[in-house]
Amino acid sequence: MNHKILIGVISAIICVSAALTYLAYTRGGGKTAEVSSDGERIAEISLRNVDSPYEYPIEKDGHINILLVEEGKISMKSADCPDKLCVKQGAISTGVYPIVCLPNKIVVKINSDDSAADAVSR
Amino acid sequence: MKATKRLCLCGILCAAALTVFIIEAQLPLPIPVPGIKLGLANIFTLFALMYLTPREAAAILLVRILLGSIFAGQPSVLLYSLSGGVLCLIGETLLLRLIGKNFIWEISVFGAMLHNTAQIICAAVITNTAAVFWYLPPLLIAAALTGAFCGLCVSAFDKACGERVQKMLK
Repeated sequence: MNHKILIGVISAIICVSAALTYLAYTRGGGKTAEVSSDGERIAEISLRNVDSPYEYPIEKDGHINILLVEEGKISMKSADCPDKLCVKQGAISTGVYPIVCLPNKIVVKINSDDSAADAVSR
Repeated sequence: MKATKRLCLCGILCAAALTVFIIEAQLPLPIPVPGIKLGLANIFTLFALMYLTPREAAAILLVRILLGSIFAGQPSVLLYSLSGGVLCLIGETLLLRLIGKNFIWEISVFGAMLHNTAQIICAAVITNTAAVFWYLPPLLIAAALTGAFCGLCVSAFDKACGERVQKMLK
């Protein structure tokens, strides 16, 4: 009988651990921003060792989106799209939610390289 | 005669555990999380717990950890090994009393988890960073696998020749 309790405890620990591991890996946030347009990767920007924030313009099919690159995070500074949802979203620093500019078909997401280590060193 | 046999068995277990411990330290593992290892040396601690007394198991464990950290050339890891090993041994001793040796692999899994938890707590105290605990979940999952493997090794041995060992020690 006792061993069944132990199995239960072990299973519970494993489940919680799996959830936390998943969390650590997805939220850890590697520090490379990948910009893609229409599913095609057009730029990759390192978010490490950014001494001073700078602007990164993206021109695609006559539309202009301007990204603001800062240490560890990236945001859409301005866009010539009508709704400006991507600008309102603000800066992202983790891989959880990408910045999406639907009208201009621009997606900015952060890729995790060694995210577990980042989760720890953050 | 009996005491000599026991002492002899302890010595053999120490030597075997030490050998496995050192060979294992040379093996690189293709996993990016630091701290994951197979923990095969724990097989011998479990073995000692099953056939000898907890005191003898503790002696084997301590000799293995002390000599192992010297032979492997990393005395700095001594504290990690020691904290993990001791908590693991205490846990496994108690569980063996509670559950019995029919479910040795479960005891081994739990022991491995205790081992990693103690090491992480130790690391958090030494480095003074709570963020080290992010390493714990993947380590616990690894512990479940490696612990189960070690436990199954011991239970396979017990099925094959456990009675002979016990007869030998009588």
